[in-house]
Amino acid sequence: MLSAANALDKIWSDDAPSPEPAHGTPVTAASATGAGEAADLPGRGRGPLMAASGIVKHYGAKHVLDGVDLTVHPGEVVALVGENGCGKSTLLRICAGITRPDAGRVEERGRIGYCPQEPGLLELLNADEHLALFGAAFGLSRKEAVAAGRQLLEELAFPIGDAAVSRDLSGGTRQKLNLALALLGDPEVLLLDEPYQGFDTGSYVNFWDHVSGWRAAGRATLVVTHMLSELSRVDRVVDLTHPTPRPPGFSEAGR
Amino acid sequence: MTGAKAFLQRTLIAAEMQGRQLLRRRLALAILIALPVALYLAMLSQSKENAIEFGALGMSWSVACAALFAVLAAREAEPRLVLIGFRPAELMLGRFLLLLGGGTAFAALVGVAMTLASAPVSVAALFGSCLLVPPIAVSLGLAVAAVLPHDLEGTLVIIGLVGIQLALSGGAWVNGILPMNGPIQLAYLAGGFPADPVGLMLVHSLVYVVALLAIAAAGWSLRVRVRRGRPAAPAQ
Repeated sequence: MLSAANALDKIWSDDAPSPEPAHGTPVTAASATGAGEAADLPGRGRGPLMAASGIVKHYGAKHVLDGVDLTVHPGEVVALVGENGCGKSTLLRICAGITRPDAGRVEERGRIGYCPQEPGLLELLNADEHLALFGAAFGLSRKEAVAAGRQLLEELAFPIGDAAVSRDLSGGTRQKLNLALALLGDPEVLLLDEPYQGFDTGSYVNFWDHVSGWRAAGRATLVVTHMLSELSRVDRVVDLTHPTPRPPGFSEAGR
Repeated sequence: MTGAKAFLQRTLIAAEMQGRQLLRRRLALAILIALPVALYLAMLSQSKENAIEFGALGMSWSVACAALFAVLAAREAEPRLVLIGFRPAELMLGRFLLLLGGGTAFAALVGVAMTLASAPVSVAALFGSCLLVPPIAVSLGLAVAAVLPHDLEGTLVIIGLVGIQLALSGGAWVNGILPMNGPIQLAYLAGGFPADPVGLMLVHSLVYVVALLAIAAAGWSLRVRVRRGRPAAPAQ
């Protein structure tokens, strides 16, 4: 049972402390499975928490994803980067199970916390009502869900007790609620689609501190980001932009 | 927590949150209430017997549109709720129960008002007409939302289906294949006009409710379903 106190606690409590990021250089490939993976991440010996293989997605005649492979291990932070329209959000939705790929498969262990780019909120419910509703999915009572959720919101500097419905919140505040709902229930796998949009500077810095905390707690985090300056804080970078032509015989997972 | 208890808890909280959202749409609620009242009063000035039919059809529009927009308002959030553990059936059932309850209370009030103003030949038929509207109209709104989850398109379909019925005379065979025929026939009966047998109308209505709910449940489940792969294998 989730409690407010353990909302951001370690999932793999017997794991080693978080290592420094393995590298922060974008990998110019559609997939970075096995490329530059850190070897000593918390919980790493347990295999991936999520593995997507051969993901293909078309929208009409447009090929968005073409045989992408992706794995995320416990205690690993993977950044998904690439130009607009290259399929980052689509891949995240496929990993969450919300969008169906044309081909390929996603396998996962553990609970998924998904934070979409456009806050999937109910416009006429306030924060506590969202927490009560989302918490019910995990079998939490209203009191438990609100307590756990308020702790998450507090950590994200959300104005606790604000009774405004979500449509009356500022963009950044809505996004904090969006992120807190993804974290509710202590998910082992975090799928975050530019979760800091609208955040002020302090909240933005605070977000990346939380990312480090999630890594230390053994969570597998996949985050879509355009903030290249923060890539030093992740373990692996997957660039979905179509790769430049490779010489014959070049082996690259995912393409 | 047992499966049944969890199902009930999630269904009830889905219904509660649906109710909270609906009550906060005060302007929309006012218009939804005003529409059947306006239709009824407009026709009352011409014929107090025919006005019952207009009141029933006006309620059909209001309740079906309320159901449509209730679904559409949640279309971004519900896949997330299903992802973390809600079943589509719990969300759909919660919404259906809330709208059915609210629609029935509204229909009963309209029924009392029409009884006083229209002096129907059969009060039972009038209330039968009013109380048949919510289950059919809610089911219709949910089914349209599941098949055509867009504001304008869905609204137009509901306007079309109910509007055709409003334009038809009582004896038109097309009435028999439209969803609101049961309440309309009972409204004819309440106004002292010839109507199809009551039993047949109840069966007609029941078949429509079941069919529309089946479409709604299947369609919405497909839209919000989460595709789960096999668990990723732990490392050896």
